Amino acid sequence: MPPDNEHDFEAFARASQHTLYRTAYLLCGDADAARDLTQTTLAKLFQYWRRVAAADHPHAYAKTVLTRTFPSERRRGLRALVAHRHVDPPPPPRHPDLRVTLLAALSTLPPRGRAMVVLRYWEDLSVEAVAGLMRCSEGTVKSQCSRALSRLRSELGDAEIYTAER
Amino acid sequence: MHDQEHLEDRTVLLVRDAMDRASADLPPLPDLAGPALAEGRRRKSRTRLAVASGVLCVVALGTAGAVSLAGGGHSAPEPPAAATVTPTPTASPLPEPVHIEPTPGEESMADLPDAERTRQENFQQQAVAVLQELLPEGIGTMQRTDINVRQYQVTKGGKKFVLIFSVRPHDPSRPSKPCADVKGVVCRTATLPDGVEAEAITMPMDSGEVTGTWVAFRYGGSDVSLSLNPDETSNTSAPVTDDQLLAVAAAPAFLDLVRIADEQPMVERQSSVPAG
Repeated sequence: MPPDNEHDFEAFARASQHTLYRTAYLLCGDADAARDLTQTTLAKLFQYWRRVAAADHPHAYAKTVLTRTFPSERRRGLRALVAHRHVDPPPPPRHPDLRVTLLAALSTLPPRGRAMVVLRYWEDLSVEAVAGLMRCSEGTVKSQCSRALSRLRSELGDAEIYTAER
Repeated sequence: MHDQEHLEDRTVLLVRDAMDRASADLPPLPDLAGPALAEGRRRKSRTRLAVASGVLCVVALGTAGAVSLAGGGHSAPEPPAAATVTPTPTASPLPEPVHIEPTPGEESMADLPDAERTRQENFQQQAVAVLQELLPEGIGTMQRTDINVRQYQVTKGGKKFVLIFSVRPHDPSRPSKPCADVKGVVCRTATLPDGVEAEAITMPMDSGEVTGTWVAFRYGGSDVSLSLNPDETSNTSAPVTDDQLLAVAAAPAFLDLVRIADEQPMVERQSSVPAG
């Protein structure tokens, strides 16, 4: 019979994994990588479960762990890619679909910039909260988000028209 | 001004809508609770083992009366006789580390038992002394951090580069293939003085506009890596070449540090549990 803390963790994991997976997908741009990132995040949460369970907002904890795990997992993935002799990433999508255009546009941002955009506009966090989470100044968040938004605006321009015409 | 704000608001709405659609139709997610639980258990036990073995080492060294960096074990390759920089035991008090706030739930060096934390801090300080000497002149100021024993910071002109020096018990699942011919990645291999094969990689990181540099090799029972990452805020590449990192890796003083960490591991083995 598993201890209570494992039951609690499993219940939490099942309740939060899909939300984490969606955010992870926006960060990684790839379903497999998003699943791995979600699993690593949940494993880290179990590692420190006593503290997580005692937190006022365990789901916010989980988002923080996910966001901070993302850059290191990405680097590990890049190194594994080199070691396993994989070839170039898949070509960009042929159709100007808003969804795939967004992922392509997000992939042009540096990981920290992408994380800031996802936290700011998907998680709807304040500039102050994003700065605290990303361990940087509010000015950095504002400038990175502004630059990223400008880039996304130009990338999404055609897709917006496409969407409007559908 | 008003138009600009309107345009920005519209873009935010567009981005939110696209994010919602992009993440709504994902492939089904298998239940990750079980695999995450298993991986979490392994992470916990590895941490306990690493801390326990570290404390045992400190006790043993305390009994012996001194910490000797130049002393030799027999499980790892012997270092070359000549050393240009010799790591020396640090005198207290140690310089203050760069503080990095741990992720909620994440442990930092402050959570380690006193004896183990002191051992790791001393090792970090010796690593700072050796690496500052061996890295190219003008690279900037190197400092240890208080988040974990592997992480350091190199600062120059307001730019901050993360340096990772890791000596981790060997992970058998880790691929041992030589560098691949991947676009944008520059690979070099070299033989260190004691016959160890090392691999150096310069690879695009972040947006692909900047590069990080990394050298890795096996030593004794450990996987060793030394890497310098780009400064993401200023979008600046790591200020070191693969040749320069290979030269550091080949230096006797650096290999002395590696041998110490190999004989008295400070971090746990890294491996993963596949999702199922």
